[in-house]
Amino acid sequence: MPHPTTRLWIAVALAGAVLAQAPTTTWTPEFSMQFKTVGAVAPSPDGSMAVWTQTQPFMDADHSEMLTHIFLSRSAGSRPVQLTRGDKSASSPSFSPDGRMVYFVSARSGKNNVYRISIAGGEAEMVTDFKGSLEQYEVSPDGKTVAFTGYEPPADQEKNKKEKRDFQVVDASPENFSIYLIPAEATADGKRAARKLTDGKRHVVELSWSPDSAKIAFSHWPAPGADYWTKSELAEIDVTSGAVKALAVTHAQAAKPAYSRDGRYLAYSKSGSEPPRWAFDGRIVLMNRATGENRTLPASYDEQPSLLGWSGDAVLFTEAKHTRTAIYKMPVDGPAQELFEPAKGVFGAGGTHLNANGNYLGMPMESVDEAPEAYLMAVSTNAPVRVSRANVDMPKLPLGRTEVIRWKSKDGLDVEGLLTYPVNYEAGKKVPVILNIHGGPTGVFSESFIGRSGLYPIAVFAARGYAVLRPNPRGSSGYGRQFRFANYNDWGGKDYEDDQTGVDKVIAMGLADPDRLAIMGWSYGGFMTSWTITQTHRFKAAVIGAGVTNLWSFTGTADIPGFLPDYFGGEPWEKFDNFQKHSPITYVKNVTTPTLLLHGEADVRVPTSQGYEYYHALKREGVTAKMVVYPRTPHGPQEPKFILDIMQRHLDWADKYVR
Amino acid sequence: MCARFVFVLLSSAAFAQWTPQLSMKVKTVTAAVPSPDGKFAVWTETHAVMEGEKSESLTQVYLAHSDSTGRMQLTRGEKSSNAPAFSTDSTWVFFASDRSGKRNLYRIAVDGGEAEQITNWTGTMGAYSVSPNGKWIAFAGREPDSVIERAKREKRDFRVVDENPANQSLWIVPVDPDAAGKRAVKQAASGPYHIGQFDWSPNSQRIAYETRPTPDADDGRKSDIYEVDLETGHIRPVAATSATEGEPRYSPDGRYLAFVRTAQSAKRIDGSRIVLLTLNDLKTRELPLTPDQSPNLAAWARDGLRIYFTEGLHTRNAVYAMPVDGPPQVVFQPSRGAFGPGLAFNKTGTHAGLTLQTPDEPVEAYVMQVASMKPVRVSAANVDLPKQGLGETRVIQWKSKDGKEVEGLLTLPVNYDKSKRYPLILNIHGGPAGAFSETFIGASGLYPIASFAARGWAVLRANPRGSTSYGLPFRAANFNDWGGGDYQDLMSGVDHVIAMGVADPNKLAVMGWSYGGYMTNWVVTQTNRFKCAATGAGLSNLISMWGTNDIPTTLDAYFDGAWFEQPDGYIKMSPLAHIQNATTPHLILHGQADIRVPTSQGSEMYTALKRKGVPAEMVTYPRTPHGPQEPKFVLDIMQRHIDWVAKYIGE
Repeated sequence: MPHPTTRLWIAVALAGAVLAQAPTTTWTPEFSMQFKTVGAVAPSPDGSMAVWTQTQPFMDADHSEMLTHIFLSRSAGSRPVQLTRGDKSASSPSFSPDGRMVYFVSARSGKNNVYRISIAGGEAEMVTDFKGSLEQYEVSPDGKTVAFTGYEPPADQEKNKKEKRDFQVVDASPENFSIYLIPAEATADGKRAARKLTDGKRHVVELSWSPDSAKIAFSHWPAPGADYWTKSELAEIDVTSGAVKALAVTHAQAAKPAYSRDGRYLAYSKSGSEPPRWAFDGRIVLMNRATGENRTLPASYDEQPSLLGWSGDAVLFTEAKHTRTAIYKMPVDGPAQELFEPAKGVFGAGGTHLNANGNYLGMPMESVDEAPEAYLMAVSTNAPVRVSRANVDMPKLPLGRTEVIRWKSKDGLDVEGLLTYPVNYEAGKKVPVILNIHGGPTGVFSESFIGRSGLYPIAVFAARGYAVLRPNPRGSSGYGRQFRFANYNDWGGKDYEDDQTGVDKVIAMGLADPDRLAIMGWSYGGFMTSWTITQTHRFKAAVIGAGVTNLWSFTGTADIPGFLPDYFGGEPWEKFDNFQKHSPITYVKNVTTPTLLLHGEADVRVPTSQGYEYYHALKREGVTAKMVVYPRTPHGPQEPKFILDIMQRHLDWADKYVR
Repeated sequence: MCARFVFVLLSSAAFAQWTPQLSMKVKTVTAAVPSPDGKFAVWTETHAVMEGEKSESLTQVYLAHSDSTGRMQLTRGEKSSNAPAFSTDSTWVFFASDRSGKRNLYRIAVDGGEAEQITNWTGTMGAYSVSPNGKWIAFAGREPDSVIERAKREKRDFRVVDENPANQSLWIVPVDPDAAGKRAVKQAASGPYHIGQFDWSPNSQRIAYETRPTPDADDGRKSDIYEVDLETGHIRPVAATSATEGEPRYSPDGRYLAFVRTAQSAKRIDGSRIVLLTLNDLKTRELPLTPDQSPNLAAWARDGLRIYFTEGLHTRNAVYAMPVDGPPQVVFQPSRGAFGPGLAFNKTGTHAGLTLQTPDEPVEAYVMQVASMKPVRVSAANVDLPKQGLGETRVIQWKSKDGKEVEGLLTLPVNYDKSKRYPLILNIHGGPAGAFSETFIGASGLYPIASFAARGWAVLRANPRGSTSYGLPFRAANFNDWGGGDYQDLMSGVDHVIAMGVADPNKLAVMGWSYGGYMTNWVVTQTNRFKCAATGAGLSNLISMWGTNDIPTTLDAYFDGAWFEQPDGYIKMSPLAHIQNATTPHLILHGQADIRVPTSQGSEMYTALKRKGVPAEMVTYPRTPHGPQEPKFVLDIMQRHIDWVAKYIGE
């Protein structure tokens, strides 16, 4: 996904645990919590080694957080080495150009800073000593300089807070990230001086060093708010003079710059629509640096390419493809060729990295019945080799079978989804079914491990005798632009029918007991859940997670006020009827389904007020309703004790009404 | 004089004009409480502490003889002391303070010495009251919830909405310690409800108390009255219908309970009245209606034949006596200004204490003999404040568009010159069931009226239909008509001030908080006559408001049901439904901890204005509920109101 953070999208990736327990015999949320997630797999420049991160919950009496550490594989088949230790996370690992150091980011000093550790041994060395919030870094190709982005709050901010003069003028002082440079090597007295390279008037988002280490290309927004992604532009800065050159200024969104290794081209991604649409259509553009000419490469299947970098004379990108993901190779003269699609399951697009020489890929991979591990793959071979042992020692409990099913929607459109059967399902038996709806709406259910921890414990549902249907209705990614844009001005219309015909299909298969159906979803999935129970009484239980329930008030309170006006053809005061007609709350008097609402109290994407509006109306109407709010919790719950609670509440609510 | 009182002394020689900074130095005084023997009075004074990292109000208890001699500060320290009350023998002053970290009860001798801690309560504490025989103190409170505290520490602090309300029980503690120096607290009453205010029976054997299902504001309408017999522990409901029943007051002979009751339905903008309950057979008798149908009970007269109560009366208020067998009569009304809101009678019924202020005189505490009702000032909290440089405040009347008589307070600029026209600020009060009264214009608050006048601006504070203090029909006249008749009342008020030759029609500003913020939001969607607007904690979308605020039944009462029963009205009366018309530069102020009008209401207005391209600025205040409390924030709000008007209208 090019802009997963800018949508109503939620993908909580969690796993692993420190819970020592008696031998586990069946799937439980606690067991799921013990699986580790794997991310940021980075191959060394020569492709012989890889580093990656493993994340697991840290839950003792006072702690409830995710803890991430960095692991190293010196060669395929060797035992992985844990590089970082401690109760503070280390993340974003990358190799130095000479392959002898691993750089990473950690908040072990209290604030995020860049560290590096020799792969030959010894503890990590602190590279930056940044007092603000450091976001990301990239080491120059010559290995001499570390560029990083971050924001330093004005000196009086802390003082104003202490002195209780901390009123906030909305939008007045955006916390724009700037680019800073710091030498990789310390001076004789052990010091490194950081230099601020950009002026902070625009918010720097992504950066890329030129091969000669003389320039940095970067994308920038007017301000850091999630609504500003549509205004992303590119610029290039000369690191010596500080001179900034604007690149590719259009009304399209331009992002993810990547220099070719010979320095002749700058590849970047660009929205096809000008201005960009929120369901997004993207292309890869090649800029000839000598002539400034921009050439848009042919469209990819899903029109949402996510650039990995250059491999020889081609750019590599990843993209969702139905319920899987694929890596494509796009020669500079196109069209794209599929380079790699896992035989089963998916790789994690966000954690996939190309090495500096462009000949090795590192990627986390998992499938519906295999927990995530890190893999290393030569671009030339297409044969990934597992390098991690994150979850290989976990007990293998029986998992419900998951298959991809297809059906025709009411209007004849082909729709696909993942169907997970109960553990030890006997053909012909009718079982309770959970309809689980993803966020976005441009998300997609893919063939990831069903035993992972997350908001919806799929493996646990299957172990308790439920089938779970996870449809990808129109509006989802992975099925091309037209499919993704097919729910414009129609939320709750044909996307709703896609979901319901999926349920019909599972009933027709003889699997689902039509009297024991439950529905649940987060974010847009919460929208669809709250919508569905105003349209049908077929579901006997519903759980709404961080759901949009009133499109009108949502638009005035969310951090993405531009989102719905794009989907619904205008501002609420221009298209008032659209906002009314597609709001679940407009039909709240129809609801009879017992409903549980879950919402984070620090959610700025779908504010908690969206949950309260629906809850209070249900309660007044006498519908069985319960609402649970989670302190400190943004749109995607993060604290593992809360995630456990959410999984358990989903199970309990379904058990109570449909099991 | 210790450092924390740096704001007290102020040389009037250095005085130039009223500013928000000067207003912050005006102290708040709460009702004087006379001693049972009538010789003393205690009261509290509150001032702002804004040094260094502090931004809070500090309250201390003061004592004087009833003739105002012997004035002294009783309590000291960095933590507030409040709610003073005398012992029955007039030798001790009880008070509450959180000086131990939690609110607890203390007593201090009138004739000297430091305070003694009476309770060592670690939970939360509400109201307290000393028994008539002087032996016991009863208080409403809640024991600390160890489960919740542990869940918070362990980060398992998810919260199921509406479960485990923080209900208070009733507790009693002996005034005097036992031989071991201890005072054992025991629970006197509890139930599946929250206990709020209560009253001791004259023989100290029973307590009548207010209950409601939960402490949530919306449950205030469900208030009932129960009575507990302290010896047997027997509890019985004594007034528990679907109406709101509150303010129980035993008659001096203990045979009757007076209380206040709303109309039975509690589903409309209804009035309330005084009801007499005979305790032996629980028969009730309604006393005659009061002028504003909104009485606040003060006390029974000692003869047991009358009940004193207070009520708003236009821009002032009055003390009334309600005979048990006849219509109410005014027994005290200030010649100017307003008193209260509290009025405290001593147990012997000889004296009453109150606070008084006028538009040009800051608040002070007063004591009066009930026989004469002539107030004598006992405090000197604000006597050193400059008296000059205050704009004149007049009560004015006008006819609204439909002919209805409307009243308001017009403050003229300092050094007003009849031959000139001035910028006019229309300031709209909250409620809508509230009213502007003749309080001191220099007091600190959200709208610095004296500073506005000092800048050369006139200020109109209107009481449009829907306001209190003009009778129930007037208060209910905005039923299902927000932004209708009330809006016309305000606009015709502005027209009137223009017609008076005071206001320059090209230099108008509008501002208000809460419902006043709603009306400000509404005004900019209906007219472009105002050059700038400032909304504080204002409603913008009545539908989302209904589902997110803490008093949805109040909206039911105004709009004839919930929004999904009356969607058209809720939409039509929402400022956001007409936002396409707005062009007025708009300042939006909102507390981040406001549950009455959630911050999301301000955000919805701001987002729409910003996306429309209307000049708009939104400022949010951390930790701040519906009414801003931290003095640095109050000061900031006053200054922003001045700056916003100065920017768009000038001097």
